[in-house]
Amino acid sequence: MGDTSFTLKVNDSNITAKKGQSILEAALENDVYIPGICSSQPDLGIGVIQTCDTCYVEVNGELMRACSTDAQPDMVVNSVSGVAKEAQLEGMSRILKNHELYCTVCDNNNGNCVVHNTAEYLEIEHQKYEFQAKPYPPDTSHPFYRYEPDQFILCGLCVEACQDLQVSEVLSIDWEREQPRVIWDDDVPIDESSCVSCGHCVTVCPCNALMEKTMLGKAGFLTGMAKNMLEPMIDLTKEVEPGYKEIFAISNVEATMREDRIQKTKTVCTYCGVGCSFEVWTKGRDILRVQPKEDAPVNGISTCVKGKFGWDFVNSEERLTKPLIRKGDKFHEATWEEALNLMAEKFQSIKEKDGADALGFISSSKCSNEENYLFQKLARSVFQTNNIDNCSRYCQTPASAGLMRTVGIGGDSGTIEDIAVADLIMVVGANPAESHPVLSTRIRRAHKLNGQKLLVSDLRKHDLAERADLFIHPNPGTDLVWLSAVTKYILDQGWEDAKFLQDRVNQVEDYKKSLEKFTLEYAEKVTGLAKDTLIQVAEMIHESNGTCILWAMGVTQHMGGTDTSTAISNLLLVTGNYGKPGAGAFPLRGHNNVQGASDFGTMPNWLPGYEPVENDEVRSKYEQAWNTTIPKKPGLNNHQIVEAITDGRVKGMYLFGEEMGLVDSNINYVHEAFEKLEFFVVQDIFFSKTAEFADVVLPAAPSLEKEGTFTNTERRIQRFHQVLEPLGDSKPDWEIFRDFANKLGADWKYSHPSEIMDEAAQLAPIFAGVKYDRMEGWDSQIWPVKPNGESTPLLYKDKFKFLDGKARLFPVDWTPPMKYEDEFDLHLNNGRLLEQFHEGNMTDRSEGIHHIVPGPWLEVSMELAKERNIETGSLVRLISPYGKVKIRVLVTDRVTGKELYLPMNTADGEKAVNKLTSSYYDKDTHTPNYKEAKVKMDLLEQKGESPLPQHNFRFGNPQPHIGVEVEKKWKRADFTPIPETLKSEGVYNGQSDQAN
Amino acid sequence: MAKAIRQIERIESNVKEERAEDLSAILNKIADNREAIEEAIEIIEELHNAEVLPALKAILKTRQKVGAIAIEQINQPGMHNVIKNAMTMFTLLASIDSAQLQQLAGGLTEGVEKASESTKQTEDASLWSLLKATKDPNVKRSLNMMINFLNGMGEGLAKKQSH
Repeated sequence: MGDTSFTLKVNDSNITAKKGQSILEAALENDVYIPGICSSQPDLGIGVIQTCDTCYVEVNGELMRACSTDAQPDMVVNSVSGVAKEAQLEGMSRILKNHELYCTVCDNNNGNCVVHNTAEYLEIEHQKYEFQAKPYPPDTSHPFYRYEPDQFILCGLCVEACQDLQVSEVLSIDWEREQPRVIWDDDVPIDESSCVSCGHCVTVCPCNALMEKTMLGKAGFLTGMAKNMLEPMIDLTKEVEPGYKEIFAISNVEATMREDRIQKTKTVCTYCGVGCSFEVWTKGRDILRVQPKEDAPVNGISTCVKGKFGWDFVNSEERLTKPLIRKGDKFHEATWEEALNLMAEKFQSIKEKDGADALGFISSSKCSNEENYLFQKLARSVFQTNNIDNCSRYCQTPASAGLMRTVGIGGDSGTIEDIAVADLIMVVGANPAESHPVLSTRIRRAHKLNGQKLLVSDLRKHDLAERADLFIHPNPGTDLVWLSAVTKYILDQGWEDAKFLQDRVNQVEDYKKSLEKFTLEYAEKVTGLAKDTLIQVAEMIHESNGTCILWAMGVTQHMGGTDTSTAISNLLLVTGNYGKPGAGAFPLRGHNNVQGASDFGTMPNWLPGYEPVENDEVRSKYEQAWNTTIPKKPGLNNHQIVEAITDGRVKGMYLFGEEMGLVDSNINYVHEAFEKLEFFVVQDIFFSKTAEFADVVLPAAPSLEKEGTFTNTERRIQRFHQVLEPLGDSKPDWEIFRDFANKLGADWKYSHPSEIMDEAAQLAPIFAGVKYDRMEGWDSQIWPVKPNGESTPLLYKDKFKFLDGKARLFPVDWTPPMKYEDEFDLHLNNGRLLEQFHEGNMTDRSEGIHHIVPGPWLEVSMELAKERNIETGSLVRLISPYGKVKIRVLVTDRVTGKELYLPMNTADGEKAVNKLTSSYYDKDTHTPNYKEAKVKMDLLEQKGESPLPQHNFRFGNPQPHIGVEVEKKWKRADFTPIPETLKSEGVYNGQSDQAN
Repeated sequence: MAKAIRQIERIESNVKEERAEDLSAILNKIADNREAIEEAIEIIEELHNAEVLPALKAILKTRQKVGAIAIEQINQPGMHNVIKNAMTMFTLLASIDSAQLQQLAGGLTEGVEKASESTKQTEDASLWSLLKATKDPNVKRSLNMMINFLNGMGEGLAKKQSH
C-alpha cells in the first residue's frame, strides 16, 4: 500500500491530510482551528451533520463547508479570509437568532461551551438577527434533564447521538413546523417518551439547551438567582451591552472562578462490566454532573442511565457511617477499635478451635483489584485458608472455565473495538441493551449504519432481538445442542477454517467424533429450532468475515453452563474466529470488577493472575513474598461455603460488598445458613439484607470515595480517583483489611492502593507491567501486560495460552436442564434491568430512577395471560419447590408461551426471585442454575395497578431515522444557503477582492 | 444463632465527640494563623463601628427583595443611558494617547491661567489688538491646534454618518 497522505495549504501553512478526510478534520488534526459547532462531536454516528454552517472556508476562491468537503492534494484553503469570516459570522448569527447569549448567568459557562467559544473566536460584536423566543415552554418533565427550546440552536447533535450512537431513536428535529424544535417520539413530553435516559443528548449538547437538572442554578456564581432577578438582569445586559467582546470578558472571568469550586475527577463506573470512565463534577458533596469525554477508552462520550444519573446513593442518609456490633437483638454503634478487636478475637478463636478452614471469605466484584488482592492475601496469609471466592461464581465462572479449556485465558478475547467492527455479532443468552448498555450501543450503531449482521438467541425478544437479522428462540437450556449442531453442519459442509485447525488447534479429530450425535434432526427435536433455521445460522457464520459471540447468564447459569460456554468456543475455533480483529469470544462480565476480582486471586483454586494454588512453585513464590505459609489444597467456593456452614464445618465468615442474602440462589436456604454462623462480619456501604445476619457490620466507602483500579470485561485495567471524602467514619475497604490484618500482627504498611498494585504486579506475570503511572488520565492497560507496559488488546494473535501454543477443541455433551414435577408448569427466566443495578441497593436511592422503575414486575406472555385470565396489574403468587413470591403482572410480547420473566431489582423478600431458585448448579463450577427455575402461578387479585408506570420507556414510541435529516432544513422556504445570502449582500462573488 | 435483625442503637455521645473534633480542628487553624486572624478581627471591628457590617447584613438578608428593586431601577431607559455613557466614556478615555493628552492638558492649564488673568483687565480689548494678537506665535499655535481639531472632528463625524 502506498502512502495515502498528502499536503494541502490552509491559511498559508502546509498541512498533511489523509485520503477521505474532510478539510475540517485535517485542519484540526494539524492544530489549525476552524470553527464548527456541529462538528464538535465527530464520532457519534454518521459523522458530518452539516447543520451549523459555522465552518465555511474559501476553497480555491469558492465558499464550502469545511466539514463536508474532502481535503484534496494541493488544495488552497482559507478559513480566515474576509469572505470566509463573513460566512462563518453569518452562520453564527443565525445560531444566535435561536440562542440568547447570557453566558455569565448560564450554567454551561464552564470554559467548555462550544457556542460561547465559537462566538468568541468569531469576534462577534452584535446580534445581526434579533433573538426570537420560540413558542414552546421548556420541557422539565424528565427527572434528570430539561430541554429549553429558547436556547436550542438546531444543530441536532442530540438527535444524531440518540439516533445513530445510542440508537434508541427517540429524538428528532421537527423541521416541518414554523419554528423547528427537538421532539421526543411523536412529540410527547420527555418523561412519556421512549427515552432511556442514557444522557447522550445532554452530554453532546454544545450549549445549555439540554442540561442535567443537577447543574441548573448550581454551577455558576450567579445562576442560582431567582427568576425576578435573572430575567431583568439578562435584559439589562442585552440593553447596555457595548458588544459581545466585553460580555465574553466577564463570562470568561466567571468561568475561571468556577474552577475553584467545581472539582472534575475521573472515575470508572461500577454498574456493569463495560467499564465506562468519565469525569464527575462536584461542588462540595453535591454531584453536579457526570461528564464523559471522547478520550475515554471504552465508552467515549457514551453512558447509560445509571452511569450518567445514578450516583445519589453516595449522599444517602442511609449510608453506614459507623461500625455496628450485634448485642442481643440490636446492633450498637461502635468504634473501629472495638469492632476490629472483636473481629480479631473471634476469628482467632475459631481458627484455634476449629482450624483455619472453619473460616470463609466472600469477596466483592464491585470493589477494586487492590481490595480483592488484599482480601485474598488476608485469607491466605493471615488465616492460612483458601476458602475464598467472589460473586463471579454466581455468573461468569463457567464462561471462564469454558475458555480456559479451549483457548487458555478466561476473558474476552478482544475489545469493544472488535465488537464494533465485526461482520457478524451473535448474542447468546444475554441482554446487552439492559445489562451492558454502552457496549450494546456499538452493536446497534454498527448494525444500523455499517451493515453489521446481528444474530440473537434468547428466550425473550429484547431490544437487540427486535433489531436482529435473525432471532432464534430455542427451548430453555438447549443452547449447547444447537451450537454443536451448527458446528457439525459447518464441518459437514467443509466450511471450517481448515488451515487454522491444522496450524493452531489440537484434538480436532476427537472433537469431530464427539459431534456425531448432534445432527440437525436431533437438534431440531431438542431445541425446537427448525432445521432450516439452523442452516441459516451456519450460513451467516460461514458468510461473515469475522464473528464475535457474546454471551452471559442465559448460557452460564445452567447445570451445563461450562459445557455450553465450551461449545461456543469450539464453534469459534472451528471457524477460525480467534486471534484476528473483529472476531472472538466475549463473555460479558456483569459487574464492574467481576473480571478483576477473579484476576486478583479471590478464588479458592487460583492465586492472582490465574496461577494454581496447588502448584508448589507458584505457592512458594507467594510464601516467600508474604513471609507465610499457604495451604496447598484449594478452598471452598461460595456455594460450598454455604453448604459447609449448614453442616457445621464453617463457623466464621467475612463478606464484603456482596448482597449474598438476596442474590445467591435459593435464599431461604442461604438465610438459614447465615443464622448458623458463630461469627459473621459484613462490610458494605448500606445496611443490606445480608447485614441483618451479621455480628459486626463495617461501614465501607464506595468507589467515589477512594482510589483504585477496576478491570472491565475487556481485561482493561483503569484507575479511578477519589471524588469525595469517605462519609462519616466509613473507610475504603483496603484500609479496613490493612487495619484488621495489623490487629493480627501482619504489619502491612500500605498507604496507597498503588503500593498494593506494585506488589501484585511483581508476583503475577500477567500484570508484570501494570503501574499506576502508566494509567494516568484516560490511559489504561489491558492484561496480559508485558514488563515494559505493553498491553494485549487482542489475544491469541500468535498463540493460544497452552504450552505448545495451540488451542484445544474440547468435546462436551448436553446436560438436560433440571426436571421439575409437572405441577411446576411455567419456566421462570430472570435477570437484570437497564435502570436498576442488580437488587437496587445503590440505584434505587435515586429518586429519579425510582420514578422510572419503582419495583420489579412479572412478565407474562399474551397467550398465557389470555389462558389464565390475567392482565397487567394482576397480583399473582409464584410457587417453586423452594419458596414463593407475590408480584404484579406485566403482560408483554417480550416473552412467549409458558415462559415468565422476573427481574431482580428488589430488596423486598416477598418479591425476590431467589426465593424461587434452587441450590442446584453447574456441574463443573458450582454456579447456581438460576435459569432453570420452574414455578406454578396462582392468581390472587385480578385487577390492580401496573407495576411498571406508563411513563417508562418500554411503553414509548420510537421514531427511527438516520440522524438529523439536514436536507429537510435545506428544503425549508426560509432557508437561504449562506453563500447566497452573502451574494445578495454583495460580500461574495465577483467582489472577492475583499478577501485579504 | 444470629437471627436477622434491623434495629440499630445509635451512640448519642458521638454527636458531642464529633463536635469536639470539629472545634479543635478549627481552633488549630486559628492558632496557626494568629496574626492574620487578629488583624481580620480589627478590620471587622472597624467595619462594625462604621455601620458597614450592619448595612451589609441587612442587604444580604433582604437580597431577594433589594436585588429585585435595584435591578428594576437599573433596568430603565435612563439608567441604560447612564451605563452606556459611562462605558463610552471609558472607551474614550482608553483610546486617547496619554502623552498627547498630557500636552493638551498642559496647554489648557496655561491657557486657563492666562484667561483668568485677562478677566482682571478692566478695559475692553479693541478689534485691532485682537487682530494683532493673532500674530503672537503662542496664539498662532493655539489657533492652528483648534483648526486641526475641528478638521479631525469633522472627519470623525463623517465616518459615523456613512457607517
